[in-house]
Amino acid sequence: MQRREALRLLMAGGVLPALPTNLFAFFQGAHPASGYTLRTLNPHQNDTVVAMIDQIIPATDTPSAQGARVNEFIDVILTEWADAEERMNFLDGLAGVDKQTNDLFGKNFVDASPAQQVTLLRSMDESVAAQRTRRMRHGNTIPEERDKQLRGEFFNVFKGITVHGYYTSEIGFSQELNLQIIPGAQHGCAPLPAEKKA
Amino acid sequence: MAQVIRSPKQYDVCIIGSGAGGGMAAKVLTEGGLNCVLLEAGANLNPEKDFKMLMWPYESPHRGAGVGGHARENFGEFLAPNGAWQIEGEPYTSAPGANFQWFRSRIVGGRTNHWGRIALRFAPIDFKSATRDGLGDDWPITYDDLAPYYDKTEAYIGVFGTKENVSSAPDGVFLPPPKPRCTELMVKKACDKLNIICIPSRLAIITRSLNGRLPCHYCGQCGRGCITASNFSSSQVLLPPAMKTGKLTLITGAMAREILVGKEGKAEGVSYVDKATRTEKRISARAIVVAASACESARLLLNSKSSAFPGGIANSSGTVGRYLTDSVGSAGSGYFPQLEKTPPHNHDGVGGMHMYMPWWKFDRKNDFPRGYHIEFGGGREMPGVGMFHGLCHDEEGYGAHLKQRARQVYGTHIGFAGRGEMLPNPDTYCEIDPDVVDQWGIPALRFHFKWSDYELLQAKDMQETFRAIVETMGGEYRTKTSIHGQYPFGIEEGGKIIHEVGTARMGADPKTSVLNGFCQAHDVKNLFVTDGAPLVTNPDKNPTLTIMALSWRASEYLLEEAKKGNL
Repeated sequence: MQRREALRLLMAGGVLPALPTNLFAFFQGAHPASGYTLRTLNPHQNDTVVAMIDQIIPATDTPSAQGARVNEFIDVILTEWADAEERMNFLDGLAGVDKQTNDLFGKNFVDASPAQQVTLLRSMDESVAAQRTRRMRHGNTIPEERDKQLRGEFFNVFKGITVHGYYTSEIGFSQELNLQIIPGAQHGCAPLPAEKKA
Repeated sequence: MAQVIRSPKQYDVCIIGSGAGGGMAAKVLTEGGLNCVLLEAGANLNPEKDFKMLMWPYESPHRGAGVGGHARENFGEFLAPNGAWQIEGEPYTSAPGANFQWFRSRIVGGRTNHWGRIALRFAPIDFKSATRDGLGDDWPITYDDLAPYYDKTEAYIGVFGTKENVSSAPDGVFLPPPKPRCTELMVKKACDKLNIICIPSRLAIITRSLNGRLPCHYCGQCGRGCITASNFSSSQVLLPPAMKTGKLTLITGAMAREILVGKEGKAEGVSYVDKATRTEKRISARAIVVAASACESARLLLNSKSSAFPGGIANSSGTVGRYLTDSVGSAGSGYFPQLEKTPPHNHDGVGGMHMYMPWWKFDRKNDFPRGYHIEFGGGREMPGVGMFHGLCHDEEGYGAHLKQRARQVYGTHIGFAGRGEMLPNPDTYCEIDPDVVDQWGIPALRFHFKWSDYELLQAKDMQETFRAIVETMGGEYRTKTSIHGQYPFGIEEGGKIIHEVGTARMGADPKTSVLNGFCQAHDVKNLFVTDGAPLVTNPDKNPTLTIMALSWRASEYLLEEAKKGNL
């Protein structure tokens, strides 16, 4: 069930008669525009991001990260929420990816074969994994470093923001996770009845 | 700021702060017929515009991430607009080793716009700390003194819960609770085996219409603020009736600088900074109610120096800023493979837990003196910032495998959080930092904070209990903590639980306390403090409900005294 459908039912059922109609205008306005123009990533950087996010979250029975426009989400966060240093680190990290593929295969990441791209991802993933293990050996897993989403090793930042962007997208949310949050009632621990098609 | 603008009008009462304590004072005093002015340092609130209720993450371009992509520092962008750990131009400092965290709100309603709505009564024994075992101090009032005000507060704001007869968690005036979620029933089953009491939670969310407010529509997002006011906030539940009397003047953007003292040593007004114009203004009033939040109130009292009160107003005891406590917090989570492939249920419910564990080991000897309760939640929740961070963190990988794992583990974690009583200690207090002022030149606070072994042992017990519950449920306890380092047994930094109280405590002895049992200053009879500052102890029962009950009681007393001409 779509949220708007849920809202409509709430209104019809008299649960939310007090909701002002301009609220709906607000919700509509909050939808990101469909024709998004990149503001931080240049075309080559965007191509690199798209290639990387689709290796991290490829299309399966649900769309890939690019299908969920995660690259645009990354551009929004880099443009509006990152500070200058975080933005620079991210773009430097992207350049570093090209440097590594050039050193290894003599070409940029986007031009590398899927197998070569995976080789590089594996190398980056293993390197941050090794650092994680070292940190965990030194004690707590508690420290709230997770607040600093745009700080730290580039691949951790990249993977974190990709996963975040994907699973908070409509595709990740309702198609991949099959999540339904249905306001208006709550039935405790009882399975949902089969959904009526709208 | 040379020019000072005096308000020609004299109000009966000037209330400073519009949160739980100030909002309650505004309601009770105006309904009692007094003309009140309410100073709020923040801006006005428009719930319909400011609250992001019923909005999915993908409906915001930022998907819930705050500035810097941060998830938790200020709880993300969907939270009701209420404050931050750091506010530009309004610094505070920590003494070496303290690292106290202070969440401040600058908006009408204060932190009640976002709070967890956990509304628990203190128990009779919580008012008798010293009598019990010599630790801490007794309150000058008893549970029985406060009980009628708990009744009135619960009946007015609306709290759901059930009668349980648990001595550590007195029953109240309750609305029916929502039904437990599947994950909560699983936890309850394990708790039953372990003889841990697990009962419906008590939250200030209405499950039936109340005073014209609509019942909860179960969108599960209370922290974002509720446009229908189905959960409690001061801004939507206490201030509207106060405004309706026609006796309340609300002044926003008003940062109180100093309480002014008259010839006879009585408070005669408040000087404040009008933030919009950066001018200094004055309010005259016959009585002052300070409810700026415990530490902000202490700061205001300490900064109100005069020849009559060289150490700050109402501070002849020297205890303003002392006896600061926060709740002990330690959290952990478990992974439950049996939750994989759980079908969707419509059990989103309210924005918060439907069940919790009150302190259950009150009938035995423990190796730490005070209790804690356990909050928990998990399962298939709204994806947000950091939700799959654990996945990225714990599991290597990328590609179809990572995606498959995410689907598999989504909703398979249940988190547990302990909230325990900290005993006041001499190393924990706030004072004026001699070297730091805020952007208006008002001296800032410096915090000293130290957990004692009492709290560390309590956090250790929390971790052991979480593990026992998770393993009894057939899950795998995933949190690792150590005795060493910055967070022994996962204990949070002081202030992080946002239950800071005690900085202008009440007491029978004016030499060791700031206020009497009616929240009235021993030294200045027309000065009251009605936020978390008066609390003598900080039991594991989140302070907001008690703040409101105390404020209601203090306000009735103020009304009586005003009638008698005693102020």
